[in-house]
Amino acid sequence: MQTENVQEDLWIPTTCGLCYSVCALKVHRVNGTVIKIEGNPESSTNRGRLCPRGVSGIMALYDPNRVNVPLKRTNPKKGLDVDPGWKEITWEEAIDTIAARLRKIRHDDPRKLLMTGTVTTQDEVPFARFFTMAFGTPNGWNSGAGNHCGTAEHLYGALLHASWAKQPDSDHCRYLLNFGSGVGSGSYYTVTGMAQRIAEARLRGMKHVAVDPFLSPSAEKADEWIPIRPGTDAAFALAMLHVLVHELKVCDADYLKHHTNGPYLIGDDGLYLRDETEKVPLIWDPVDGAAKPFHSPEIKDFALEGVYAVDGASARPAFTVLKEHLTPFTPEWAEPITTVSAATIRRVAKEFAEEARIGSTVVIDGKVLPYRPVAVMYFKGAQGHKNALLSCMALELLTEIVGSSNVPGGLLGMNSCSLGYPETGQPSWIPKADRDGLMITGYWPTFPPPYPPKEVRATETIDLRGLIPTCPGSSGALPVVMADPKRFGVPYQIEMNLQLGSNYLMTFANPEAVARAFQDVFQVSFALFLDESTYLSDIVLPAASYLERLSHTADWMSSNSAVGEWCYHVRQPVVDPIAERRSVCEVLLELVERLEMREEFYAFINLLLKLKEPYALDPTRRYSWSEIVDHRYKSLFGEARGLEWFKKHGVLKWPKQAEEVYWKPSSTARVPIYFEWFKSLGEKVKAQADEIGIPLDTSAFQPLPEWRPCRAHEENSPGYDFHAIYYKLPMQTFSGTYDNPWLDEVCQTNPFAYGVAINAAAARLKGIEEGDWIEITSVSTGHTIRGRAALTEGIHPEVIAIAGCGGHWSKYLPIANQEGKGLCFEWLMPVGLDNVDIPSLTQDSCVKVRVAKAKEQT
Amino acid sequence: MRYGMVIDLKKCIGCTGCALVCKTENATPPGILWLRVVKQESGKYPQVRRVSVPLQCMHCAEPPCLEVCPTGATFQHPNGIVDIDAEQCVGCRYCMMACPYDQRFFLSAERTYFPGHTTPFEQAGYQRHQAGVVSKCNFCTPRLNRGLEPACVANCMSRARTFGDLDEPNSEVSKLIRDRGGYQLYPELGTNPSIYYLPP
Amino acid sequence: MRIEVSFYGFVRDLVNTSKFVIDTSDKTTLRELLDLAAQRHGEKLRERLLSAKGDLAPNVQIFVGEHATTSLDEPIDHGHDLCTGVKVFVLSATAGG
Repeated sequence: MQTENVQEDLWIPTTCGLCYSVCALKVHRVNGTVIKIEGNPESSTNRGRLCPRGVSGIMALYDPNRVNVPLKRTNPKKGLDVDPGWKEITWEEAIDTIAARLRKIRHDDPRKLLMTGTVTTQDEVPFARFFTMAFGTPNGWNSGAGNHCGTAEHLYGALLHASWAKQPDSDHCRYLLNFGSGVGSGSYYTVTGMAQRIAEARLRGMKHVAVDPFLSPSAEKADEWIPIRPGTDAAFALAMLHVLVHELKVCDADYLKHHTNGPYLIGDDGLYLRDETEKVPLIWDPVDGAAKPFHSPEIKDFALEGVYAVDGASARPAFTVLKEHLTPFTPEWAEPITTVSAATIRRVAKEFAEEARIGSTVVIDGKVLPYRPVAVMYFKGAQGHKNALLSCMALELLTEIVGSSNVPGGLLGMNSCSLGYPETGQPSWIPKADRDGLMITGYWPTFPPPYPPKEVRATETIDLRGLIPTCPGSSGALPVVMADPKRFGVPYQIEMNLQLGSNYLMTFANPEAVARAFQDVFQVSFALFLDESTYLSDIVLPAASYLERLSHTADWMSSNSAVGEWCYHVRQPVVDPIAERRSVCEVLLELVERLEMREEFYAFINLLLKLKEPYALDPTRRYSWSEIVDHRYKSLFGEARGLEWFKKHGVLKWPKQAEEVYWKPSSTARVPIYFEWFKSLGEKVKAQADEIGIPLDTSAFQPLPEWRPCRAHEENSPGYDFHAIYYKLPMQTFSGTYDNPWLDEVCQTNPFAYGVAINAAAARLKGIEEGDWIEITSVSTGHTIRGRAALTEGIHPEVIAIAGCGGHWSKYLPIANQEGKGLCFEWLMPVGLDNVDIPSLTQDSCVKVRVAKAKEQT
Repeated sequence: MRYGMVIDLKKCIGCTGCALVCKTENATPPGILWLRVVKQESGKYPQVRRVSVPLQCMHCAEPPCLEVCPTGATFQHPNGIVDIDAEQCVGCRYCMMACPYDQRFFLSAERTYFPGHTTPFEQAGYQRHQAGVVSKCNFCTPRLNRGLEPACVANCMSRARTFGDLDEPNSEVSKLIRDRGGYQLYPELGTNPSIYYLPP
Repeated sequence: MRIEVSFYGFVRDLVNTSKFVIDTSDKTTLRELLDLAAQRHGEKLRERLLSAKGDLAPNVQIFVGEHATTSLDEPIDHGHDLCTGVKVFVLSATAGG
């Protein structure tokens, strides 16, 4: 750009919006054109670096396939491959049509409105939720992540770490045991910062053991790769727990006594023993030989082991119940389930126990803290199964037993505790204890947090969340209920969907079944592209991308790195919205006026953004979107730190204090190692489901972990001899980035990015060679997908692995829709409650498939 | 003074961010990746290793491409960087055959990423590239002239790349090569590349 | 005393107009107020706002004037306002991920 005609040469600070990490950017604009996107070194979120997606945002900004004008469908027939017959309309006509529909629905029954969003629109989705709440509907669904959502993992984030997601303490961890998460490798939270931090940890000698069916991008970087049969991670973890407590006799007794419900007395009915007056859980004091309320100042010590008689009833500390429960789960028991040798499990357990250094301490910021440099990470790989709740429980207990939860070296919640900007004390959240002494999150990005347990009710939402209040994330039930609401006791049908960038047809499960659930709904899409799900839309609105819009960004807990500095950013347009594209938030504000719901909408904004005088919105006047953003910043950070300050500086930061990062030692809130309330909750869910008349297997609502087979372990049709799994790539986000030609170009240089990883020996037995077209047929859906074989030694012989979320078919995505540009895994996955972990509504994303060389090789 | 780069394969995660930040910095046209990442697998299941290896022009001290260039278009800066003067390149592609690392690229025809459409970015950037000539990595010479590191070094999201003076024994690159056993690709060819790798 | 009750959010299917005004004694508690509202708008409203045990449902927040209230059983009257505004917010459970 060193030409003589430079009239303008600017670097504009903003944030990336191509995944949920929300990295800080500096965007270089010359003469009105974006010529470079760099990481902003001022932010500790990504420390000046960007992933391949981040640097490629230019091509998404200028992609001629972007939606530029409002469109309406002319073809009344809807279907997966039915061309909507798009016709350009004016914004005025679009808003008129939408407002008229919304007005009618609001008058008739506001619950008939659904909003579907995704994590890459997470700056807009919360605002759209204020809209749907004020409108009066309970239905919001993050479908863009869908099958890719952490679901059960997020549930335990709330129960054990007071956070949506977690990370190993990259500064101090010495042993990272990773069950199928992409941490440090180009996916998972704060991806760019963690790639740097984990690389540094590798260099200083942190051992990384990856337990994964596939030598994934993350497992490639591990010191040891342990291939495992998909969906059996819980068996591995249970056997490790068995070795820890029964063979090595290792646990952090001090931690268990003071920071968990390990000492709480459990009766023969599986429930807490409670005291007569206060009804709070009892513990056993072995010094006085008496039961006492858990919070009694008279306690001299807590018993973790033994059987005690309390008022004539026998009671055992929760830790003892857990320990006895673990007796049968030997490594020999786990070996045939996991295909991992008992010796390997025993060795890993021993390494883990030794490296946990129980009893050791470290001084940070002048504070003496426990030092437990081991972390157990897991994400979709281990939890995306029908046994999600009990599998995640087993994995989490490894961390709890050795006391490495939220202490130096261990597993850290991603911002469980915030003491706020020093000048204002905002934003502030601190985990606290409920009456039973168990932890309630200080902050939870969706509503409400999973604990304390909610009342079980007949479901009023379209996704069973009233009935199953433990579901924290993307509900696997939505298309099931939507297809037949009456059967589930839902007294209305969804009539309209506001779709904010989620391509749910490709990120949920069997697109045909999902399309059937949505095809009678009037759908309005705020879209960047005419992707597969917009085929079902009635109106498509051209959305401004993250480079063209303003927001106070997705300033939620998991977009700040777990260690380092607090960083709050701004997202601001680096170019004016191209053509007729508009910011979703601005359009929503216009709809609010048209629907005459300003007073209610502002009331929700004031309530949920905690806008207090003088920053509360006054309903007697109308605010622009940028004024609302300005109010939000000022209410958090003071009058001097409004929107103008943020637009100029890009990032406000301050150091994290040790008690924010390593908050557990000073917290009085305990976490469960025995999930007592699951049991009674399950009974209530069962009773309610029976009343509605839906058969629901609630047997997984249990206080202690188990391994249970998934559907794929038991479906044994002849010829269906592979498990298909999927994993994430560092160069694509879900399905939304596949039309980017730069990302396409690098994907083509990597045989695994668009191909199907298959064990070389297993492939050759089927006559399949490198690069052959193969056909993969699901036993569950009957659908067949095609891709090129990528032969490797780095995969379990029973498994094929499909990367990312390719296999597009929309004719409006000319780069992504070519055959061979990845595969859409969702064609293999059935929609149905029998494919879902009921307590967390997690979908099972492991499928039994038949693999054959394709007859047609072109 | 001899510019060189160290790529730490223990840190590298093979994300291809380097390939794409190169593309945005240098506005290379479709089909041209001055930098790419290959995967190398070794061993048998379950004892397997897969390593990501970024490849780009090695800026050899003894560049075989230079010897075969009939017009003098390929030349070496005093700082060691091997460069191409597009004005003198006639597109004979002898250099491409001579390069043992396969890191030279011929632009046969001007194309854009979206058929029939030139994005504003491409309009601004493609004036730097002309059809019928060979191009390759120049260690981001324009950035070096502005006191910046090459784009792939500045952006690497696992901080696997270090840039500096190989002739200076106390430079970061020299120290890394010494302390961590840095090695060159195909040393037996006598090309003496300026890119060193640290073992995975 | 005159009380103006406004309903916000996931309650609109039950309370089609978002506001109603009642003249009542200054000893009226929120619980009595909600009883009155339930008489007017149906038992479903009570179910939406209260748990089976009669506590405020966790997704319901009530403000008397500017003050968030936790107790249903204390008189609403602030002692000085001629007209007290009561705002009842019913939040929707939202999904994430």
